[in-house]
Amino acid sequence: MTPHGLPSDLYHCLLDEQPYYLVPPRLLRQPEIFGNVLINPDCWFSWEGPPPPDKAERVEWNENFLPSDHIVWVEDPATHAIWPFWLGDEYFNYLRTMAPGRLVRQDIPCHVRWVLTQANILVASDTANQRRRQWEEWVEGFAATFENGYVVLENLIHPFHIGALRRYYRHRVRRGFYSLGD
Amino acid sequence: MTDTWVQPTPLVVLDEFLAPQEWAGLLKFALRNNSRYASSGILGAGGEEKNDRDYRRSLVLYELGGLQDWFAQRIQSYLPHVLARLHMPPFPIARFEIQLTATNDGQFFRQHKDDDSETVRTRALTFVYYFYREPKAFHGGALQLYDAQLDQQGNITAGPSQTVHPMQNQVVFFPSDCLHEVLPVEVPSREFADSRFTLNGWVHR
Repeated sequence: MTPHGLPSDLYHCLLDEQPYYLVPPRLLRQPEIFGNVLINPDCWFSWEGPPPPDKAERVEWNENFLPSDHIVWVEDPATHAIWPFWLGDEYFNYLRTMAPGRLVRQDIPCHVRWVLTQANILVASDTANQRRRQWEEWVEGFAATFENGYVVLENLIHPFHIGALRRYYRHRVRRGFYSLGD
Repeated sequence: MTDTWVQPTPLVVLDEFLAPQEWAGLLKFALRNNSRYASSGILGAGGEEKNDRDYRRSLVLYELGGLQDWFAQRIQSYLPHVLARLHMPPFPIARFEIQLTATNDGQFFRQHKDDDSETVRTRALTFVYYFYREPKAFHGGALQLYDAQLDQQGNITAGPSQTVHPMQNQVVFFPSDCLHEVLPVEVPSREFADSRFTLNGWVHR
């Protein structure tokens, strides 16, 4: 069991209880948003019904995922990866009255707002364009480095999922789910 | 109108704290050194160490070699996150004090505060990292943390409590001035290797 009382052997990335301590701090630097803040128009709330057709074909439920009725799926506008974020009671209560593309209520506490911003659930109107431009710059950098014969591709996995994956695999390795070594 | 005021004890629990190979190495160290543990003591008001088997029973290993610095660094790397969640302001760290504790059948540590005597007044933050041999061969041994309850006469007593059950590879942090206790452990086999192990200690300001 995790400290939040969820099974450790089913993968989940719960916004209410982020394992920040397993995330390299340099990756948690999504800037604070000033001005109008929206719920990301490219996210999908699982409790509102089935995913839109363009996302449905890219969303595959894994049997090792923790079943939940309250998941927000967020599309990365640059890589087009779709990241699931599980919600506990606290975060579900904030998001249940909101909708993708709508302006965000102002009464969200700072720590909740920070987590939702890092998860790209809260965005500014030009966040997607900024992210695409940033990604293009990185890809150009990757291409230049690749002329040396190899390249390290960074920033492919959402930081929250790095923490959640570390926790999940530490648990599974320790419990002997995998045979390690040659 | 209420006649008491309760100060809740803040608490942070971090899951899967060590990587599997680190956890396995630590367990191996704890078991390999079984002959080096000493009976645990308590500190008197003047800082003198004494044994009181009605108050605390467990075995402690004080000499940890390289483990001491390695674990201190690991704890230190998480401190900004932990202190923020405990709502404790950052403080200059004077030193780390770390020990390995094995708690076996019928052993416990009654209600106490970790900074309650002169020589340990600088303890600011307590941490308890749990580990044990699989499959788990003990029951009990929960950490009971009490809120501070202040009455109208200014007396501080134990208020409502929260219970933290020892879970493999989890670490618990709380302010050292909080009242807490370790409830009795049951180890049916009574084997040392089946003990409830902790790498526990304090960050001194």
